[in-house]
Amino acid sequence: MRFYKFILLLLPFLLNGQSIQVIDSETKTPVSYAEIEVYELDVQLKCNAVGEVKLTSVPPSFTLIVSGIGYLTKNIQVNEFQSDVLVVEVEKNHLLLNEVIISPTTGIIQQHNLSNVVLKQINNPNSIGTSNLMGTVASVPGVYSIYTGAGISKPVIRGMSGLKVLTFLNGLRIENQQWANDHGVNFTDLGIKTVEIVKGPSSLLYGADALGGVLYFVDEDYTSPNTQQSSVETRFESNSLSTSTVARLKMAGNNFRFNVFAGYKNAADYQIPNGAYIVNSRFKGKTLKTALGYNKNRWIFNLRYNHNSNQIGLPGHTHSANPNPSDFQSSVQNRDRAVPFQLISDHYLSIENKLIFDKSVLKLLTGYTSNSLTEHEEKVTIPGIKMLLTNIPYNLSFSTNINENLKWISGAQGMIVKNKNDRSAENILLPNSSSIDYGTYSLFQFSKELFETQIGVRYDYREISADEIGSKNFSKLNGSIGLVYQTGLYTFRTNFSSGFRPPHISEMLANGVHHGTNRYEIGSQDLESEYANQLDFSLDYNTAHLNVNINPFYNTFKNYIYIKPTEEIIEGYENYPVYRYAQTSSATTYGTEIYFHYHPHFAHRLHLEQDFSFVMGEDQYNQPLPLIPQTRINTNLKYEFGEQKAKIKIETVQLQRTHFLDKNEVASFETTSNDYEIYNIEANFSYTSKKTVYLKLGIRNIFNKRFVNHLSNLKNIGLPGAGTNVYFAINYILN
Amino acid sequence: MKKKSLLIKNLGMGLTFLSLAACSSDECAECHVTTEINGTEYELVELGEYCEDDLHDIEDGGYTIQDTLFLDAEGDSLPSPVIPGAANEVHCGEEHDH
Repeated sequence: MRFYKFILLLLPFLLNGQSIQVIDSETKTPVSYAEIEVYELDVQLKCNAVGEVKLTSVPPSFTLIVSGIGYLTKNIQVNEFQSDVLVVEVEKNHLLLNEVIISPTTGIIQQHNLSNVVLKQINNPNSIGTSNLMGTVASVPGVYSIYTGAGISKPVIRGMSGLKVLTFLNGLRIENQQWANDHGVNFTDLGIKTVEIVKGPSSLLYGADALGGVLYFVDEDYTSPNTQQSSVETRFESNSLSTSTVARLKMAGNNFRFNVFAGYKNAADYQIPNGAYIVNSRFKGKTLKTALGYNKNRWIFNLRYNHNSNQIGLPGHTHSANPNPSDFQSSVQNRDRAVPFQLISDHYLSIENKLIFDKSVLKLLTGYTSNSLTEHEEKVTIPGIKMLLTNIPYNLSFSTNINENLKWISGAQGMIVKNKNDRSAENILLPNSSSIDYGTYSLFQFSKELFETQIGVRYDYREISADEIGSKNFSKLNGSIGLVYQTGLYTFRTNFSSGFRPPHISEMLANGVHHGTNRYEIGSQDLESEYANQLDFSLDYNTAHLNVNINPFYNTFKNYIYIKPTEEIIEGYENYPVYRYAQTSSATTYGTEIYFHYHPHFAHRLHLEQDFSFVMGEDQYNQPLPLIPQTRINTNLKYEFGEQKAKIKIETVQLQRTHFLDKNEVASFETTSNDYEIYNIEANFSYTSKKTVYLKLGIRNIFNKRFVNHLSNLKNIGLPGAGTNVYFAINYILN
Repeated sequence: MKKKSLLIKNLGMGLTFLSLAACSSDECAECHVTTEINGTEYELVELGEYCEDDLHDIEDGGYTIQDTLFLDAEGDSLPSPVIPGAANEVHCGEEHDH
């Protein structure tokens, strides 16, 4: 201890230039190998064994994010260095989930964010493993997924899904024909660091269509200057005999930084609790992701490219009016391609430029995305439908600290979207079309001591063009106002936000067979824009050993759009049920999320987490809306093992119980759903010698419970979810 | 020596990336002739495996049966006989093990 104090006293004399020293707030000893991020510069640094690191070329005012293993992440706004060494004290971490993180969208410290936002870490070695990216996202209270087996899944936020939920990847808006429940998110968790989940309407920052919520994914950071990191990871799941292999390489010089990730996944048909396999639930895909960064003085440049290519079987495909569940099951597990299937190929390119001024930041992001969707129903070489959807989005934003209490964020966003059918396809479900969006917004954030408020306004305009409708225009003014007040151990938050969504071309002009959902879909040109207003409250109680959050909400919609079955029969397509897009004059969703995390003082390594998600949706006649999820209770019991001298260490063991309650209030064309409980268990190990290896070993659905989720696309034909699934992952760190 | 080792590692990683990103294609499939009678689809004749261009041609052009068929491919009676005439629809790549 004396030695460390001596080093601390000498530090200012030992270090040249501007440096940071990270120390424990209680013991005042250095925190070895703490990690530091200069947020504005996107630069990650690692401290040495005595917790110190040098900074070069930082602006006069910047934000530091300081983290260390076993410590709470800390955010510090540095206005100018008072001395050559800035000593940062970090507190020992008790409750892992109250980390202080900066919102990737607004640059506002998450704790101070007034809108309803949750930041979830992806690829967290201490979180229970899931089969796909949406499985991880859907562990957040209020968030679910609509899925078809394990190959297709898409997000549901507070009962809203499809076109009502937006997805961004590193600021790039991802368009992927999300109007259909079988068109899932096509990228994987490869190279993704976090996802910011905005619950409820949020057009202010994200523009038109952000009616039900937003998923904002952010890639992993670069490595520290003049270092290199590489690793290879493989994952295996017994249920679908799926294998997933990924490789990661990160390199950084003083100014240039480079990341590359590649992955391949292949899954056979999944097995249900009775031992049978669901025919054609197989899928395979490959991913390549690269990022090139350059920073010089106060200019930061990022070029990112991501390619995802997936071949996904469509299980449960039938033309029968009364299908038998056994028709879709087999005693043989297969992974060969069989019709019907989807081929999805995406390319995402983004170019980001950021200029840092003394008190402000100017950012311009432009890019290009393409989504090629091919659905084969009965022929291998001739697609049923084939469409190419391209998008050129742009986002210009400017944020400045007007004074120490007031921050102003302003920007302009837009995109040019085109959808084109390929002539090789047998059918055209959606006509060729294009749309142009632009919007502009302004947001003020005022903070003083325990009180913060935020107010913003935005104007959006969209023009949709297609031969069948000519040109249609939609526009709307939206806003958001919020307040946060912190007193003692309590934090109270409230937010009012609005959003709007013009009808999509699929909702207006669909007229044909959709092979993915096996139905004939018909749009309506009479549809009007949807509007939503949400009132959201949140109360936090937070001590070193207990965190409780209660978050009720009430959301009203005008012109709510949905799709419903009809009794119609279309000549030549007698085998397909006919669905039409419809609109209710008004609808409401309401509910609450409750989160509880207890960490007993007598058992410091034990964590008990529980969350409760409830949402109801009703139309203007108080009849239930379709696709509203079951109420869910998640319980997670985790034990963290401490320091161990052995080379092979056990890091954590956790037991998870997920309970979905009955769903009896359903839309007139839906069926009710039964309650069920699933138990999962997982242990994490590490082996350290010259290299480090991480091992994850777990079992999902331990008791081989048969369950059919209300949001499963296979529910109507009585096909259950996967039975017991033993999985492991080995992550070999090369350097 | 250290640089050489780094180079070999990077080459190894590069090869891993390339192998992960390598393309593969399934270009062969089992095909059969189908017809629809009173809204129900019947399999008429198993055609066996077709590959690449032949696969595309048979799916695109269909298959013309030569004789009147009274039974489907599994030997069950058809609701009404299928007579020779225009090319019948050919479906390929369906799962048959259930």
